Amino acid sequence: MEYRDTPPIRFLGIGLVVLILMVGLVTWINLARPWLGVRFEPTSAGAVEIAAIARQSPLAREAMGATVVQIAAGGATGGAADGASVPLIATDLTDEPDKLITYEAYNDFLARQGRLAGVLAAPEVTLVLADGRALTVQPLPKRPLADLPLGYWIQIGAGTIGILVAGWVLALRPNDLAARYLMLTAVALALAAFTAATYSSRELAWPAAAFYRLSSLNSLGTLSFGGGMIGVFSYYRSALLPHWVMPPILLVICLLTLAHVTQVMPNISIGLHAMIVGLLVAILVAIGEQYRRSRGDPVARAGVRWIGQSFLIGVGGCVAIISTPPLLGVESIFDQSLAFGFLIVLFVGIAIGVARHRLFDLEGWSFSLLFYLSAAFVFLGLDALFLYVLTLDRVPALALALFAVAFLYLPVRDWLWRRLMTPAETENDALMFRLAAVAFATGPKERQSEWGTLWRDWFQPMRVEVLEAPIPVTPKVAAGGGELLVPGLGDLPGLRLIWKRKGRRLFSPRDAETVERLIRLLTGLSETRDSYQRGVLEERSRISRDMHDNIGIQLLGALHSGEPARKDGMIREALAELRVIVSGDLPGQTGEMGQAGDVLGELRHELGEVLAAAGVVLDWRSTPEADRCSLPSAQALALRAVMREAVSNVLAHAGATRVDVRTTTRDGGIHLSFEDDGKGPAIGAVAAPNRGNGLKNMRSRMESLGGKFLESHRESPQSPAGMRLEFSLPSAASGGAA
Amino acid sequence: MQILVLEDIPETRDWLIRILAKAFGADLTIEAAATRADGLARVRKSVFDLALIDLGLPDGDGLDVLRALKITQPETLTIVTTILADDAYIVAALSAGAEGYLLKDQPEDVLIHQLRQQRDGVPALSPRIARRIMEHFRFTASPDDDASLLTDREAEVLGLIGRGFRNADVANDLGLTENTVAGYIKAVYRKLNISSRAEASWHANRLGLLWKR
Repeated sequence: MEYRDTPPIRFLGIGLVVLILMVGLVTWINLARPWLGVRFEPTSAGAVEIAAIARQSPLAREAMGATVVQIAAGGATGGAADGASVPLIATDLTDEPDKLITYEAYNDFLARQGRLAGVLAAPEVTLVLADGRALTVQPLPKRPLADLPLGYWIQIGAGTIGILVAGWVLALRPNDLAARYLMLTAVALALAAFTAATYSSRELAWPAAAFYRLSSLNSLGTLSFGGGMIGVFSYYRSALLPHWVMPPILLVICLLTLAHVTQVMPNISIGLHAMIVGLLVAILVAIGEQYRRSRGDPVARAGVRWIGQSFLIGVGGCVAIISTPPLLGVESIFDQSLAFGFLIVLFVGIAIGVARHRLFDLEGWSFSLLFYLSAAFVFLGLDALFLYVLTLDRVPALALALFAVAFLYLPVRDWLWRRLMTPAETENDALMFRLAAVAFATGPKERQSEWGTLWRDWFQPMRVEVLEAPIPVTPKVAAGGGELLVPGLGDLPGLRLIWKRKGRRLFSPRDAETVERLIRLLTGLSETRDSYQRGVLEERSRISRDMHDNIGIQLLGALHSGEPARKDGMIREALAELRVIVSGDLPGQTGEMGQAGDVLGELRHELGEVLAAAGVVLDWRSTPEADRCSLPSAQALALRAVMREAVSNVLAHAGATRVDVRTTTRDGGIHLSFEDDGKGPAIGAVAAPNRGNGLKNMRSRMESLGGKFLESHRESPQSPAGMRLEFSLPSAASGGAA
Repeated sequence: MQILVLEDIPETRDWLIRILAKAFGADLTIEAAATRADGLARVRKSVFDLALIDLGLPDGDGLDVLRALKITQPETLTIVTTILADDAYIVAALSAGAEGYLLKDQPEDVLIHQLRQQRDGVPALSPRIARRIMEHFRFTASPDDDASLLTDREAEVLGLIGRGFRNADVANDLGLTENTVAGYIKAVYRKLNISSRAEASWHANRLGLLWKR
């Protein structure tokens, strides 16, 4: 059974081709016989009459219904003078010599067959009728295909379907003992069916030696069928016997068959039919035992019951027809081919059972194999039909025929082939998206489902199973290429992919490498996702820090402030801060530093609006160096706070009309000067204690960042009035980042 | 003066009405609405000279009311009022045809000053919004469509505003009058509006307003 270097569909395909050749060969053997074109039927009186005459028959139509007494070789002129003349009796028409009970009757039958075959082989044959007429005809050299009776095709069909079903199961379960014995059963059935089909659908006779061989092979097939069935039910679903027991049993069956065909046995009833019944009993015992053992496992029990019933209906019907009457010493009234019809029931039942009860652990997906296989053979059939039509001269002109081939048949065939037989290839980019979909799936559930989809799309396996421990560390090809084991990744489970490309390919080491590469890619993608998520988390924690440091403190200050104007100011500040955070526009928010020009621009606008509303002019000038100066967010926040404080001081106390702001750089750090033309510090400091408090705040704010704060008078030519504040901050520690 | 105030917080609504009275005197007819639906109903019924529109309303987006106004009453001066809206949202409002916007957390006198300025045709533009608008044009403008491109002067004005210059500073710096600077800013608003007009008419269709014209 070393077929595992081929994928199941090829295994099945090759088997099917062999099977079709076999059917062709058997049919050809049946057709290559001299033919009278007559259907003989036994009469109730034990005579033989002409029941039908074929259209092509050389026999005159008026012979219809006549009783044939004897047939003779040569012309009718000399009567039966040349000696090669054989009287016809009803027994000569029997479809199964095994019905004859005794070996004497059997041997006598064979001898008569030999003589009849000899007569029929002559160039001219004379039929002597009961009314004295003698009809001389020349047998045709070949029997036409259409003349083969329905029974022939039923028998051929039984053998074929059995092998198909068993081959299908075996292709998918190559290591299953029961599947192997099912295959043996099917082969035995085919042997019995094909040989029986050959001799039971003969027109009148086969040569004795050939008949004996066919009949012996038929017995071998019949008894091996029983032996195979014992094997099936010994191992399905539980193993009733050790593995080594079955081969000797089969050997014994072969020896008993030999005893039967060499006629060592007392008679056919004992040599064959009693054996068949014995095997049947053994099988029933095995089924009963299987049924008993499946107690407590409803799925197993349903499976055993189903296959057991299929067997009882199929084989029971068959045995009842073939073997029971001879055992009872009476002749069977049924046509043997009907018995084979029952065996079709058995195998079709098994196929249905696979779908309904997961017989042999197969499931619905396994039918796709049958589908592809039958589609392939539909194509073969189409091709054959087309060639047949072309060669029949029924197409008027060759040119027309070629035209039809080129423009109709080939394109349609190609289209159909692609539709049915080529699985939709997923584009590489689409597969890459699948990879990304796994890495960026939102939840673990989605991730796992995308993970399965990835491999389903990539290899189109018939089936995907989640691997139980132990999960391999690296991808592995298993079951001789039938399976690919994919290791897990993080929370993603290890998977077993079964039968690549719906059973049309085997997994190769290259596939394992591909899996390894994809998993590496996926790991990289997952890391990217992780670092992105880390970024999101950092951003979130930054926002919450900002919320706490800036907004929380502002609001707390507002809550505890007794002064309404200051409370309002702090709440406004908090809202402005919140807007900045929401807009994601905070300077230096991702660790970078803002440019002073941009950061202070916002402040400049805000203060300008506030001062303009109070009728105070703001003159703000900055040097290009100062605009380009980098400003960490802590410095920006501090400058904003002190400048707001300064403006609110001016509006509250100074009675100023203009404010001048200059931004420059000093030692690489930012330097701001703030002047108003109001009442000046001396008066203000005394008059308003809050204002002094504000100045203290400014100083501590600057110094906490290593900066400086200076408070002085405005340098003005007119008067010493007005206040001048100076804020300088050290150069950003990280140097010249822009 | 016929004014619509669309604002869902009652205290803020009353406060806005007080501010409007202080800014524009007593001769005002003010209709207040608290929901998008109410706002749309009032836009269908009355004609307004000025509308203050809050963007985040309990039953939907104030932008819908703004669009309805711009379709049925294009002469109305519409000002978006907001507190925490993302800058991008304000740019969207300007694209939808708003003439200006106000941040509701500013001191009363600042708001009054800005309201008066906007009534007088001086558009408001903060540095951050100016920068957003420049970004908007960088990403959306197509070189084939002149109407969607900023002129050099407009870009220059936006650039200075982006650095905190007020209109007077810009005028000073570029040697222009304040009126000219205001004209440039309005031109920028118009171009924002053009780039989103197709979208606006789609919205109007959806609201069943077009047939009214």
